[in-house]
Amino acid sequence: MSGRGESTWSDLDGWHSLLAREHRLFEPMVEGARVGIVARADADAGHGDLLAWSRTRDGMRVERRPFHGFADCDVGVLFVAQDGALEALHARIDDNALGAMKLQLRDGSMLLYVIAPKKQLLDDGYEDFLEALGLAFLGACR
Amino acid sequence: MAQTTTLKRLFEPASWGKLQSRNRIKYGACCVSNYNNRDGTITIRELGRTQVIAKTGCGIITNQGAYPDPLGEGKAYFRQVALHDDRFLPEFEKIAGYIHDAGAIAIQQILHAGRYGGIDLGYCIQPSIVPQTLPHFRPPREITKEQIKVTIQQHADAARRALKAGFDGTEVTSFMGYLLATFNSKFTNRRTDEYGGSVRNRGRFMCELIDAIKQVQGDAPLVVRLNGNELMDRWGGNTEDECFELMELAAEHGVDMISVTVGWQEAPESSIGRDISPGYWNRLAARAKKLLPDTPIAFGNRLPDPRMAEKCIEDGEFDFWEVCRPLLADPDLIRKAQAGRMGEVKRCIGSLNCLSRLFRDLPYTCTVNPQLGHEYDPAYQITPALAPKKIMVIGAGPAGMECAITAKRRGHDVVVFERASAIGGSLAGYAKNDLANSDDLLSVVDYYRNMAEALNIEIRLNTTIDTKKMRGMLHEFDVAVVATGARIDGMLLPEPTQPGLLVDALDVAGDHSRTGQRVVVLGGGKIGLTLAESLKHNYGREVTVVDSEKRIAGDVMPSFKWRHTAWIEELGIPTRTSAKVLAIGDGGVKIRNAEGAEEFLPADTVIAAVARRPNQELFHELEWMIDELHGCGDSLVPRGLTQAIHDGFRLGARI
Repeated sequence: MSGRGESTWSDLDGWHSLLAREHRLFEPMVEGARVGIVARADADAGHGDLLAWSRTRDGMRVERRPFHGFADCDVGVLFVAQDGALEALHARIDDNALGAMKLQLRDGSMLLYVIAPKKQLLDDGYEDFLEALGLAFLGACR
Repeated sequence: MAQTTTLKRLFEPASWGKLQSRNRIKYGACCVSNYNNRDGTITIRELGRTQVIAKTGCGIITNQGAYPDPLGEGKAYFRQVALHDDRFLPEFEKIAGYIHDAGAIAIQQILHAGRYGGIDLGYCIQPSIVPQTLPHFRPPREITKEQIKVTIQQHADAARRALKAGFDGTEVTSFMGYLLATFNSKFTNRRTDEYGGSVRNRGRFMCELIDAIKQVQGDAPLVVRLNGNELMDRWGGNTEDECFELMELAAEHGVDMISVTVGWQEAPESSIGRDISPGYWNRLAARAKKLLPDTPIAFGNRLPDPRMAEKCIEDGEFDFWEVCRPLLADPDLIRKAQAGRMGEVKRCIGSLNCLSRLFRDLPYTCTVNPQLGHEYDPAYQITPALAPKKIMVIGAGPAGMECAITAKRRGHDVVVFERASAIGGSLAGYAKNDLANSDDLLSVVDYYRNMAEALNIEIRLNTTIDTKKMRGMLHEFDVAVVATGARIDGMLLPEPTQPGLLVDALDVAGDHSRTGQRVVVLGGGKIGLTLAESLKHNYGREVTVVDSEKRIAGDVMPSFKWRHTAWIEELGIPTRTSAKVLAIGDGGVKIRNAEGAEEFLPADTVIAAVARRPNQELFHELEWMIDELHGCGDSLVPRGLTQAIHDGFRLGARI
């Protein structure tokens, strides 16, 4: 958690309002589907805090969970934020935050790790969300 | 064949250890074909392909990567070849024979895909558990020290088999996230034992691998492919300096050639796509050559032109031009270059159709070379026509020109009719607006122009074919080929109430319509996006894209989908998806947006870039006016460049 804006990580209501506004991207997800975000330092250390966006019957829920490393993080996909990246997103939380996230994924300040197998991601409805972030779903082919 | 003197360095013989290469061109095993059986045995389709590759004229030919382990942990593609057992040897012997018969040095690549492997297993192995950043791959397991020893031995055994099959040497690859790369890179190697930590420790696996293979190979050469830049450093991967430290380490262990490569599959930027200008990465090869002057350096990433390669060799930037995709696009490239006939080369346009198909678990094909992968198939052979015919091809786009050229090569008499003042069809307009690299796409049109001239195909421009025109030519032709393309289907949009506001995307692309400052593009497929990007980037227009689908770029090839969506974001082009167009007029477009609300988008110009419908009228009009009537390309079903070229070729090959 060192070097990051704590208010950014704890603004669960703010993140929830973003997800509610972008609800169409999450509607195809099955109940229990989950996206995680961790700070780079926590990812490197293999433990820390995880910001979880979980699909529930009523929509998206935002919560903080303990992070115990890649092998045990209980999410479909995991975003790792370089220093300042999540704060930059949070600054646009009422604007086009996911558009900004797409650019962060391009410039390397945000990194996506795919935790669940492709078939599960497809079956569980992650495709709209990932494609909206400009992520090539079936290989980058660059 | 008359040999030119312009590419002297490229075509000079070169010593490589005890071997002699007839020139400085190495065919690189850029990606696997996926033509083989699920058990790793080689098919007749693969043998057909390798026979063509063997005859390309390269001095060194690297056969595609074979996985070395019986479990298939190293297997990246469903139909990748295997070399973990002697039972595979007979087919490898044939391939080595083809290469030797053609006068080239035969190298077998051993490819353990590591992070991208285990395609049949549901897991992959790598030094540490670091998940992949793309969904295509299998969840990782950490390789144990005992497994490391076994894996190294499997590589050495595969190398021994390759030599037994007749290959002159082998190659291992630390490219784009394969096993060797995952050890070398600190992005994926987070081990705390002697195989992790410092560059030297991370490189230990590579050094042990080189030592083990060289032990079984004796003085037969070993090539290692190493990243000059992973393009992963922002994500914690190796810096460029570390990549070169690893090259030094490989050289210390006596590797006989280093093939310098660029980028991981997962890198957030392009390395070989059309949006990278040719020659962009040459500096990495030059750095390797400067660092290791006594180690032969091969290079070819995004370096498709032999004339550029000649200059690089002349300047001492590398020793061997490593070329793959340009030879998939045109297996005669080297002969044409040597004869000074570069205008007749089908250039690799960097569409990455090949890789797109591999990541859909399909055999690779090539946009500009329909014969790739069909070398054994009679339907794809250009054979002399038993009864030469007079053929009229209507439409000089890619489908029509491909058909005309193929038919002419078979001995038919061909005339092309084109209503526009130049050939190229809608591709010409599309290419002009392509932000990636217009030159690549325009090269397709140039190729058709040059081939028409070389084959003496008559092209009648500014000539519209209709029933009246046809009546004046009755009995002049035996065959008509309708290759008239497609047009934007205006029926899918409401009737505009403001004259001049709505224009056709193809007219804008072809410079037949000008736009105002505020533009709304209706349709977020490849045509709409290409125009929107060009209008914003090249002309400073304020552009909004509207699409009825949930996501834009639905018809874009997977290799470029991410590129378009990134451009849209980077250029700040607003999009409205899941939107319905309600009205066009009164200075803009009224839509119902995804939230169900009505929204008015002001516009000086509205561009129709919705779905296309085929121009099929001539099929009916000509039906009773000519003996044979065929169609190809978008005039059958509107698709894209690959299908147009392939349709045209197939038709030309069978008329």
